[in-house]
Amino acid sequence: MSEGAVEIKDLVKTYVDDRGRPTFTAVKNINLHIDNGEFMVLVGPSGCGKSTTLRMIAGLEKITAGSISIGGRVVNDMEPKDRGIAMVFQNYALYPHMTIYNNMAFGLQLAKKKKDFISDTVGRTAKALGLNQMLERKPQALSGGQRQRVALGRAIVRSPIVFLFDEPLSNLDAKMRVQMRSEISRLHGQLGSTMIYVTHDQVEAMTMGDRICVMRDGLIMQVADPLTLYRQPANLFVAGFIGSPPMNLLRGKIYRKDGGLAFTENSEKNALTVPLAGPIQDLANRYVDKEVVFGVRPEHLSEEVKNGSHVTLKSTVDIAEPMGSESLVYLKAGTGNLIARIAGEHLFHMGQEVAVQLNMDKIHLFDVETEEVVH
Amino acid sequence: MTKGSPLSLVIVALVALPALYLDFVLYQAGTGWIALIFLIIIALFVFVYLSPSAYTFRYLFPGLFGFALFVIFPLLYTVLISFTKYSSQNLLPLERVISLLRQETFSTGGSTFQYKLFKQSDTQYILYLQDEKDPARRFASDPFDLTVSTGSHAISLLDPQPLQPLPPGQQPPGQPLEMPQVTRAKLFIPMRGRQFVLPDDKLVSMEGLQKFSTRDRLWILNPDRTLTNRKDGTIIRPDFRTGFFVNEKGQRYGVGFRVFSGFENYMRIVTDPRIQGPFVRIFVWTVTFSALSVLSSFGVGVLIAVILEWKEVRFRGIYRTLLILPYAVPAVLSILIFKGLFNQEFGAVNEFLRAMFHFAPEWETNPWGARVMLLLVNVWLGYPYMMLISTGMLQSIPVTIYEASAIDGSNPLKDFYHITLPLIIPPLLPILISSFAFNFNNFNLIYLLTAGGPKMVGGGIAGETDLLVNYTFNIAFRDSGTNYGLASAVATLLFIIVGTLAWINLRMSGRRI
Amino acid sequence: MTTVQTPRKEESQTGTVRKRLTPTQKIAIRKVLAHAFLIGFIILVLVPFIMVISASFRKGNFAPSELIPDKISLEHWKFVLGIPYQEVVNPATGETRIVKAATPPLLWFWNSIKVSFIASAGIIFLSGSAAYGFARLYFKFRSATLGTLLILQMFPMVLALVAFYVILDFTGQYIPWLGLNTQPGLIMIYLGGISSYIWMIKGYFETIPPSMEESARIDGATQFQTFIRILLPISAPIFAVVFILAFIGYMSEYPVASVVLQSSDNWTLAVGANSFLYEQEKLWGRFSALAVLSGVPITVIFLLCQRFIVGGLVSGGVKE
Repeated sequence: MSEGAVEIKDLVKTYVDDRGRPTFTAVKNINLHIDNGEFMVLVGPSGCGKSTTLRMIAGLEKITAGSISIGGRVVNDMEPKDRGIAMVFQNYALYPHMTIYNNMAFGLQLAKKKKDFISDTVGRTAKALGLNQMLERKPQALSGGQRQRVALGRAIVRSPIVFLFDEPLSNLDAKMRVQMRSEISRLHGQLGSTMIYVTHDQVEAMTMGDRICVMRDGLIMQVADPLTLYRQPANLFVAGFIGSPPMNLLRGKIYRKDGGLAFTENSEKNALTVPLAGPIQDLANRYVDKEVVFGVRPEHLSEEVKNGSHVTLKSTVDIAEPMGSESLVYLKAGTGNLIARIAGEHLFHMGQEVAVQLNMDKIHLFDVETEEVVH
Repeated sequence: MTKGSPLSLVIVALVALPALYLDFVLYQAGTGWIALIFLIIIALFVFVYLSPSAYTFRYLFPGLFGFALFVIFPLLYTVLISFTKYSSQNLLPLERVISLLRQETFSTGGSTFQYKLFKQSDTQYILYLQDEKDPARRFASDPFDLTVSTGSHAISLLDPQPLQPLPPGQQPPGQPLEMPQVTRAKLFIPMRGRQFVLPDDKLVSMEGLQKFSTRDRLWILNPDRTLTNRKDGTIIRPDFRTGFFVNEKGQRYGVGFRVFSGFENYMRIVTDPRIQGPFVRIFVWTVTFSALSVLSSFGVGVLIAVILEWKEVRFRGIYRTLLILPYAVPAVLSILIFKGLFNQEFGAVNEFLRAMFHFAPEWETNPWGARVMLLLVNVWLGYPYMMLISTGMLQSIPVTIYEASAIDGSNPLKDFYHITLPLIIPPLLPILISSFAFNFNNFNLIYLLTAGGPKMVGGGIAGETDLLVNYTFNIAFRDSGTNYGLASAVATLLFIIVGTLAWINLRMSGRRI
Repeated sequence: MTTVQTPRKEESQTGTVRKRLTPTQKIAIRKVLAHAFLIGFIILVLVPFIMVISASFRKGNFAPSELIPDKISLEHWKFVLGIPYQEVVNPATGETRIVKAATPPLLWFWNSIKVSFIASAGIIFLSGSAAYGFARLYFKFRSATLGTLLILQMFPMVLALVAFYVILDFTGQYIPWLGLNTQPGLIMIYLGGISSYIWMIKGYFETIPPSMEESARIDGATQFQTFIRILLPISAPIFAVVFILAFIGYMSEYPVASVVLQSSDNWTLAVGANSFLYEQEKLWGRFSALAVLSGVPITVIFLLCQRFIVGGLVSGGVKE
């Protein structure tokens, strides 16, 4: 069962200008394996090459170098229609001059399928998506969510082995987005097809992906399942990109202090100093008197001590955003700014002094030069 | 589709095969290099529509081909002509002039013939000749067109029609015409102008009503393209500077032929006071006319557009529709209507002005009157377009800007100068420039309304209201002038001016292509 | 639009008289001025047309100068429609003659419709497919080609007349129906003026997101099918605009038609209408009847399609 597996090898995409001169390399030699039936999310800031990669898988962009295979067949020179894929576009790309029925049936009609088969397939799919009442309408008569379903239906009707999604939810309002998110996830469960999903929204990536591929500037930064990505970011970029609010990242040096090690933020005076404790000391040993980036997630700054080694930091509240069951608190400690996610129904006010517990088991150190995590 | 499907193969064949046949006909007709170019085009066509690698050009080929034939070729042809002496005096290619001279004959007292005309169709005839002294010598021509339209040129431009000996006992096909039919002016006049050539290169033409007689060619063509007069032995040779055949004393013979003349036409524009004087005046008027036309139609158009955008004014829809009318009516008709209205003596405009103000401007005879009339009519024709364009622009200005300025203490006039104009002029600039270019070449308006009149004193064929394009047209086509070479030189200069404008426009509009 | 928001603050008004007016009064005055201006302008627009209609019904051939004809006669209309009518030649003897147009002027209108319609359809075909190439397909020197097209088109057609004459004279020798004095020949020349239309259509294509065509490609459509079945139907409005603009442009074209078409039964409206106005004798009545007859349908079509055209003009930004 590897018919839906997608293998990307040494893939490069360089755009050329009007006279054939290379202008800009969007994808720089990436390798990625996607298993049959897997839900893979490509995520990254705009311009990172994620959409270009997806469009190369679809066959909408020419491949400059490298290869893409689907189900073991190299598809580099194959027409999109022959690749066994279907794609859902950001703006839905519904044909405005055709009815919903014809929008969904277009691919089957072009493939010269029998009329009965077409109406049967389209009818069944429309029913499953709750669209059967509006098959004779034109796209502009539909709401955003309905159009999104039509686009999904159009993809399903082709019964592809790989679904491709190019930021399909970004034109929807927040509520609809949450609903469609779960619908697509459910669809993945029902169909079991491979799905490749491009988004710039890390929440979408975390909630939907079996695995997530984080990209930046045409390179893959890390490929992992959501939890691994969150817990063990491979580099500074992933650490900063995944998680909301983002991981606290402080630049500073490791010093020997009082027989142990301590991290001190780069600053003229009032520098924040964190004595290191627990297993992190072994890693820090290698970076004594060297610069590192010190990272800790907001939820690992808490008011109470949980298990594991902790260090207490004195700080003042700058701004607090009470969310109900928890609060996002912007703290000033030394000259540094830290965000803490503090559980419980509290009201903090500006200038309040708080002593927070820093969970030393959960901190990360990153090499300044390579931006890689130290491990 | 990228691969040659059977259908596309059939379509390509349906176009290419008749084209190939036509090319063969062209080749047979002796138009060697044209046939070759045509063949290359056919090959290109087949390649573009059958080769997957040329797929993109399938969409571009028809358009670019038409463009090449009807825009680029005429342009190049015009530029080429601008470097030649080509006018009513130097009209024909050298070969034609030689063959014309070779048609000149003198009487040698040779044979005379009886003739008959055999009708083949309404226009086609066969000439049949029988030697009066030797009835066995009989000749017949191929069918030829006797009613051929000769346009503005004389009939003698037609080459002599060859005659072939007729075998004994054989008659040409068709019915011979009776004498009264032959002597009808419709046939007789063209017949009298025709020459025929016997197999021995002797020319035959009509002598009187009843007979044809042989005549000898006056000029013998020498291998070096000089001609020798058989009567007095004069030798004439083509002079490639003046484009005429001349004898040793420089005396001209026959009509002129086209010659390459380098920058002579351009030099004439710069140096010849008869050309240069009018050229400069016409250039100034052309620029003034275009600028004033654009400015005033834009001014009127914007003003109306702004008023029509004011939501407090009722019936705006009806007003707008009525105000677009000048744009909707074909301009030719409107211009001709205005020609009537501005008639100096009986026109409505002057009748009205006379009745109201006892004042009747000379729209036709006074240069300033004519210019004012042209501008008035052009504004009338042009403001609706400006109005439509500015309306589109005005609607794209967010109302909140005006609300903000109102809070800042502005008034309608200040709004117009400080907000509306600065916001709409930059995006409209390309349109204003292309409108300028359009008016720069607004041939129709001047040609139909004033025909360039009144005449410029001492300006030859130049009129006081002629634009450069009309002036060029006059040089090329008005009967008195017909100087294609000079006209082409002016046209080339004109194109450089307007082309530069278009190029600037392209740069300024900054559209990402 | 500029006048709406301002009247609230009197302090900005400098005139002392105006200071005493209330905002409502000021708006009222401005409204009256606006209406007066617009109505005045509309009179200037309409009077020429009314006079032409009047001249077409007026007995005798007078330049348009009256709003209502003094002596009504249908002779010009009969002439233009090719219906014979009686005319008094000599009022003293009462001698009359039958007048009938050798070539009914209505035919010129029909010729113009034919030529303009076919040429506009051809323009749509040529510029539409070329615009697709320029907007959606990759090839080298694309923008340079496009710019060249626009600049070369600036060469006025009038000045290419000599070359047109040469071309048609040549084609006519081998394909008689495509030579001088033929309507197909004229149409063929008209088809050269495509570049501004290419720009207009290309501009419109570029406002259409390419994802629809990409989606169709994934659905299995060929390039040609995406063009015909997806892009063309979506772009119908711009094709309507181009068609109408080209049509009206060709209806008005005079110089090329007057050189190419020599016999009066081939003439187009523009050539025919101008032929009534000789230097020596101007047949204003007949001209007026022809102008009304042919101007009205075109005007009506234009006004019906107004909305389309305005949108197209603004997006295309190119005037014919």
